[in-house]
Amino acid sequence: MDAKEINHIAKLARLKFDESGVDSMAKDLNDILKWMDILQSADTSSVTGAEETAPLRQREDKVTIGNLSEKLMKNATEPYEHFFTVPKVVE
Amino acid sequence: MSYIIKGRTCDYEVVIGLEVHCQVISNAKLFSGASAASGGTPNDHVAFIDAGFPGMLPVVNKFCVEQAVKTGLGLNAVINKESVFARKNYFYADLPQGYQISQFDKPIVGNGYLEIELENGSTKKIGIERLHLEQDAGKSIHDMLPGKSCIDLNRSGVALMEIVSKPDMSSPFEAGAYLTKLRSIVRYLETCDGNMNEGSMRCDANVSVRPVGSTELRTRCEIKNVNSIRYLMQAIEYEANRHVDAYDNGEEIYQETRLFNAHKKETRSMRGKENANDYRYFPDPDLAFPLIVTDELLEKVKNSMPEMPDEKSKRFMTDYKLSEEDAKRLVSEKSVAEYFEEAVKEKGSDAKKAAALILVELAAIMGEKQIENIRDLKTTASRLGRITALVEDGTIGLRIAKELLPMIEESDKEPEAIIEEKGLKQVSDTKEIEKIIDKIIADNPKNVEEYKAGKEKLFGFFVGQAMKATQGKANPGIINNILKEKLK
Repeated sequence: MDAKEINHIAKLARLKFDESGVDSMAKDLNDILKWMDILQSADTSSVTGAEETAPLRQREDKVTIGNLSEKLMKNATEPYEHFFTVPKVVE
Repeated sequence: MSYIIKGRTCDYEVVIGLEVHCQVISNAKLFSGASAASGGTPNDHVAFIDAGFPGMLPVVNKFCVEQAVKTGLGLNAVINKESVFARKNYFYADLPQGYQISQFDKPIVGNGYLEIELENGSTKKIGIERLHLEQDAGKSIHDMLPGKSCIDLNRSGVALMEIVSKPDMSSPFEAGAYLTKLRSIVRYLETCDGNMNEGSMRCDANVSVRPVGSTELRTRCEIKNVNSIRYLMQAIEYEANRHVDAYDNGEEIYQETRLFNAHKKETRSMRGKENANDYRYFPDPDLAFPLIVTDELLEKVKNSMPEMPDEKSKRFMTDYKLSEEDAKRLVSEKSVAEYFEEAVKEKGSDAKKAAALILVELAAIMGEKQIENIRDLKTTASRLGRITALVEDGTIGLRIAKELLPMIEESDKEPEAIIEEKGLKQVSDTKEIEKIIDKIIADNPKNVEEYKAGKEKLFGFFVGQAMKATQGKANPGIINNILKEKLK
């Protein structure tokens, strides 16, 4: 991974680094990728993947929860009436 | 018939593919037990998972899966026994998880098609690429507080079916016909209410142009924010012409997302090209096991399929001897088809007259009064059926039947009561009509002379005079007979 890729991913992740941060992040991520390579080298041809072991758990179409807006707002930094608020975002 | 745009250097044809988001009709959301109902107090229909709280696990709603399978069958599509949920990563204030749970390389429904009717009456198959399940986002409200956007997560996590067509449409008309047909199908299936103005059905269009006869696919643009069939057609027309102008001027078209402005009837660039989408899809580890559609489920859904519009129109032609055109127009809205069948259950009613009154008179009233649903008319199916029965048994003439409809809309009274009150019964008393006709003949000696001399077109004049003299209440059959006799 080079600085260009780091900057691209950082932008998508809304993260900001200064120059030196980019370099050390590149080093860390490259180390992690090397680690992945080691994992990749393990022979797993006889191991069944998770997707083959069980179907997805499913739920009935029933309303089981609601009227939570007041509780939700307790965790909001700047609630307004029943809304969360954020800096204005208009596209 | 084909839609061609004349460029300076060559003629162009248009290539259109549509992505339609349909909100699934269900009680609860796709991955939580919160209500999927629209409206309500903001942020009340929200489970912790819909608000992106940490440590919450999504569990898929069985019924939403069934609805997707049902829609797939309605689109003549392959149902994939195994599909996988994936995360589509992007940041937006109304997407609290920071990713949307969607399906990427393994959708629940694969290739299918639907048939549209072209302007010349022939049909065209439009391919369906896929249908996948995903979560809807919340709503941002920008005009409530200065400098702030208010976020309502009631819609966050509601199940959506994204239905992607193949780029098989080649005119705004075809795109409009596709969307109309798709809406009709999901309404018949009761998997989505199809209300575009309320946002429960939303459409994005991918548009490109190419020289007529070529098979290349040039750069396409995605147009968002088209919330009616009319706007969709306008947006495509504008966008296709924009491409042609650009190519004519030797300019390039960039792949980008554009927004349609309904007032200006034009599209504008939404995000710069440097911000091209990069969603970094990967299988959602919270839903690591595949979603399985069992044979049992497939069988169950197959058995629950209702009669679809194409089958219904064929049956209408056989059962009620309707013309193909009338049958197709009646079935295109499920509510209208049901209304029609209810009307013709009335004793003595007539199917052809009922169809004509619905498709012409009632359609005009609905257009004028901006009534969306035929069930909101004061002319109920039963009233309409009874009116056709009254025409059949000779109580009223067809002209009076037509005039009754706006009166019912006005007064909400029974047709029989209005006929009684206003004395609209057809005059079938031969003597009375004879008297009227004698007077018309006496008053118009010149026309009588000309008619007898061979100007047969004048017969219509006499009929018209007789209808006028009786305010349209005379039985036209009797008028005809008497006139023929007297004018010999």
